[in-house]
Amino acid sequence: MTVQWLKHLTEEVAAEASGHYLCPYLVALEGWRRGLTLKWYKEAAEPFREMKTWYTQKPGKLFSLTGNDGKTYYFFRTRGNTITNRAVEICADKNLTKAELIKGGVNTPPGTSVRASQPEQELISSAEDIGFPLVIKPLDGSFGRGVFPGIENGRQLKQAVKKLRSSNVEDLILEKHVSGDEYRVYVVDSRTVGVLKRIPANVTGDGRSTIQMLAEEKNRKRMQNPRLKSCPIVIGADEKAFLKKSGLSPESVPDKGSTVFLTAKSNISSGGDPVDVTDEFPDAAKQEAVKAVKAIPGLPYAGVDLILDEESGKAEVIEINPTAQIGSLLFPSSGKARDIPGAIVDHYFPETAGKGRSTLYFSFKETMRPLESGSAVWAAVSPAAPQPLTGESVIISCRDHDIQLQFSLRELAESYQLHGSLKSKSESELEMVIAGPSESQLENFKAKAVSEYDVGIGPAAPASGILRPGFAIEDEPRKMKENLRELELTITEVEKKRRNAEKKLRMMRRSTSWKISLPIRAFAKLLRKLR
Amino acid sequence: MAATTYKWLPHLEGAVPTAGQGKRISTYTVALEGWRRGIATKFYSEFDEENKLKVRYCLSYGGREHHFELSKGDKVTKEAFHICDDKDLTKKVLAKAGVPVPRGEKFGGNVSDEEILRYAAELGFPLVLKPVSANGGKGVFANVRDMQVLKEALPYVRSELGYKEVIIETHVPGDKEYRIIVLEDRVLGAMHRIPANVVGDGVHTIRELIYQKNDFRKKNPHLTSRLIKIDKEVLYMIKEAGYQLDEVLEQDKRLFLRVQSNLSNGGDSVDVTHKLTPEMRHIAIEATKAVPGLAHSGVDLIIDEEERSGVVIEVNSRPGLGGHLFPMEGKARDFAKEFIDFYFPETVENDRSSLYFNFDSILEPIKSRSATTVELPVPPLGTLKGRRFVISGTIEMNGFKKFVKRQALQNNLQGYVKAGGGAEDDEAVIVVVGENYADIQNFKDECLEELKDSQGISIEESEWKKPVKMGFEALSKGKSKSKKDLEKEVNQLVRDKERLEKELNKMKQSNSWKITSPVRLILDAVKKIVRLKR
Repeated sequence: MTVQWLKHLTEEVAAEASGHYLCPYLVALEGWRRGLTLKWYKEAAEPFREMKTWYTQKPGKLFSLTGNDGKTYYFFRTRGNTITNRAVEICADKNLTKAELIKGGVNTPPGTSVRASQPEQELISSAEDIGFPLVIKPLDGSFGRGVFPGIENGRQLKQAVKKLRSSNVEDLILEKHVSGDEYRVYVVDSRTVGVLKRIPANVTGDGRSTIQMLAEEKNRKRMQNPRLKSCPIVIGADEKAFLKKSGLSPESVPDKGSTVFLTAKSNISSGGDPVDVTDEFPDAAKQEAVKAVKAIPGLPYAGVDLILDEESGKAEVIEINPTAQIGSLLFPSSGKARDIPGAIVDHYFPETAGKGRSTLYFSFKETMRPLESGSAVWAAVSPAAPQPLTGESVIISCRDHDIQLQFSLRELAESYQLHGSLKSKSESELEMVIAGPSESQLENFKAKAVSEYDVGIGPAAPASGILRPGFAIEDEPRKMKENLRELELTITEVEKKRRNAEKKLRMMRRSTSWKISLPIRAFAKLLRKLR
Repeated sequence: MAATTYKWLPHLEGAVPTAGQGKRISTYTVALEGWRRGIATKFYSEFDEENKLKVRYCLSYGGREHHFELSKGDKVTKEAFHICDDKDLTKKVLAKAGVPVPRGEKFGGNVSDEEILRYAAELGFPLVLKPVSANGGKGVFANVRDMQVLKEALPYVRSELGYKEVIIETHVPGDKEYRIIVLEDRVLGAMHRIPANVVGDGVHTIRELIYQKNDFRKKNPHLTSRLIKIDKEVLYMIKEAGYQLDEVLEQDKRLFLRVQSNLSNGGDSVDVTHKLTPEMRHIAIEATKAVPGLAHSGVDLIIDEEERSGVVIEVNSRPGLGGHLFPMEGKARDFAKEFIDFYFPETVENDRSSLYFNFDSILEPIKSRSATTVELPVPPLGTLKGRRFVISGTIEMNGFKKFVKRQALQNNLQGYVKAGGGAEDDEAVIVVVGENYADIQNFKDECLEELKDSQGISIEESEWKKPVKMGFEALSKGKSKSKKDLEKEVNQLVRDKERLEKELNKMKQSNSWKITSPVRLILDAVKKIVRLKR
């Protein structure tokens, strides 16, 4: 399996934000790199009051991009405000979606909405109208939660409804089962930008390792993928039951080269593999996805879930997601990454398309700080440095350094507008990478550092690959903490001893005998002086 | 000692976060006053000609916007700033307007040292040598008594320090210099800086007094890191005054430890507003008026020996307010309030929020250049209702702290939770403020409900009136210090302990102690008998 990610989105860049913050970060970053003004907002900030958003208590999902002409667009995750609230509402309700799709002449499986509290007989008769096999799922569900596929008869339907009731789901949709594989197609402005196939969690045998071991090995690999690192394969009760159906257990050793599936769910969050299939995906199916997005009023772009029957070539649209995640399309486990953020920013700011982008990236965590502490409504990210930076790596020698010196050097470097990093090399040496707009700026900083902090600076070596602006101190915080703790304990101890000594001394000074003997001492002192 | 006369402005007590202490105190306090009145507040970065990052702020209300740097708002024009920045130009402008200034002359970088020395001989001694543009008293030589001293000082300032342009002027007798804050045609107040000093109590040694003073300075947000260092100069001053470092200083005796009165060297700011004479006030106002476009200023006045009048030596367009807001002696003066009243007179009657903002987290991304601008949320105005709870019992602290934070935010409360008590986690201290008591009551009930299965839970409740930081924080125990600070502290303590033990030994070994040992034995015996009889 070959995999090719985008050159400008390296692991380091993606490591800035994880989980649900990765997608918004990547879209915001694309805009910022093109020179647009980027601001992050806290929950319920003015421009977002009317916008449909959810789970925004923590900042990092709401932002705005402003072009040179002052035109501003507001974003919730990957969805900007050219997508109407109505479109979001329609897509959140599978029944409404279906109605719009049918109106637009888009293939979609027949279905009807039902309620979990309805009498079972009514449910079965609705199911019979559609015809088995079918799927029952929540009307507004996402991430594949509460989806019961492949229901063959009334008994299975009743079981599914019982489970749905127990998890307090009321509004449901019954839908005709369509055979084929499920795909996610990302459409922007009538163009198919990427197509992804999600393969259920699986391992491939090497003839020696158990399924458990293979899963662990695969998880280690997933850790290196910014999208997959938060979604490891977990072999739980459901997976064990699934294995058992084919007579396997986590301890079974699969043959070399044979693939064993651990679940039927294709979700990435359940350990599935995202595979890019954009190039080989049939045109007709792509056109069906484009048609589906067009069918929803006020929806210029979205992620479309469809099922493609390879034999007949027929594609049926299941779901449309206007706030789709894009991480899997950018970091697939095989195939080519597709530049969705680029396509989204092209949509909003066509004048910036193809005009190039900065290689820098900004610190997501730093920018979030005032928003997280609740002390800001918005924070504007510093613009990307326009010119290429001059960088070098130097060794700083000092008598013995501590974190305070590192902080001071960082502050000084920052005041000279330098980017870079610091890390301790030995007791008396620090390794410092500095990058700035000009050679002279670096020289000025070094001269100041030498005079201000009494350090020596060795000859410069070329630095490579500085991307992140700002200044990082890379020493392990835990080690520093331990040292501090030890010191604090020593202080308490010595302080006790000191107080003791002080007290004794005071008592002695105040004692009557010391006072009355004062003249004697004065006399003795005088004598010594005279001598 | 002086410490006892020191009083906080109640609305600033505990309301100055680390980032707002020391050099950013004017920026923080002026912005805070505006923010508390519901004025929209933004902090942003600017780069000066050396490309160094400067923190600026913008306040806007009712469609009007004012930009500030330190204590200077945009009602002070650029022209006024430039005049004040150039000491020679300031003097010329003041002299022209009839404001008393010392006689003197400015010399450019191309003038030779010899020529300057010739002028000095003409002007006569004592005189003052100072650079044209330098801040914080750098390179200033006051009271140069003769040619010999000047011959040494001149090349030092011009070549070694690199201030080529210097001023030579007559030294005005009188060793007191007042900083007078003027707003348009009004004197707001004045401060006098005195060199580092301690006042005796007849019990503690000079060293102990210095430590006490430093402990006290640490609590003053303006002086927190500007402590008195026991160095050569301090030791010399003590010796000169006829004392020793470990000698007890008699009651009420004030001992000066330095010559220079800079606050950064351990000097004290003393409020002297009540000492201003009408003449001094007049001079300060005239000096400010003399500079076109200078809406407010800090005028430095050398006070004559009769303490009636004075001579202006400098006019500052962005004087620091810290010394006035947090004086070491005398009355604290809230000039941040006066400045905001001046820029936003329509907000004078506004309710003030009792919250303060987390300046640390706002400045961090600006200073690291991650963010250019950060806008603050408008706080709830008016005094909030506050309560402090101390909950004791067997508490699983980490989990409980998280719970408390969640509940506080849900009930719209601000404040903090931290583990109190000793080493065991048996006490949680919670401070919450909110718009009404119902929310607080609700929050309290939820906390107690959460702990209903825990052992021996009791709760103490009291009113909380001090300022609270906006937002809710789960604090970890104790303030973490840097390694360097801790190491310093250890060294200091070890040295102190050794010194005390040495002294103790010396005393014990001394003849007078040995001789009096029978006396002590008798005395002890007497004491015992007296005790027994009772």
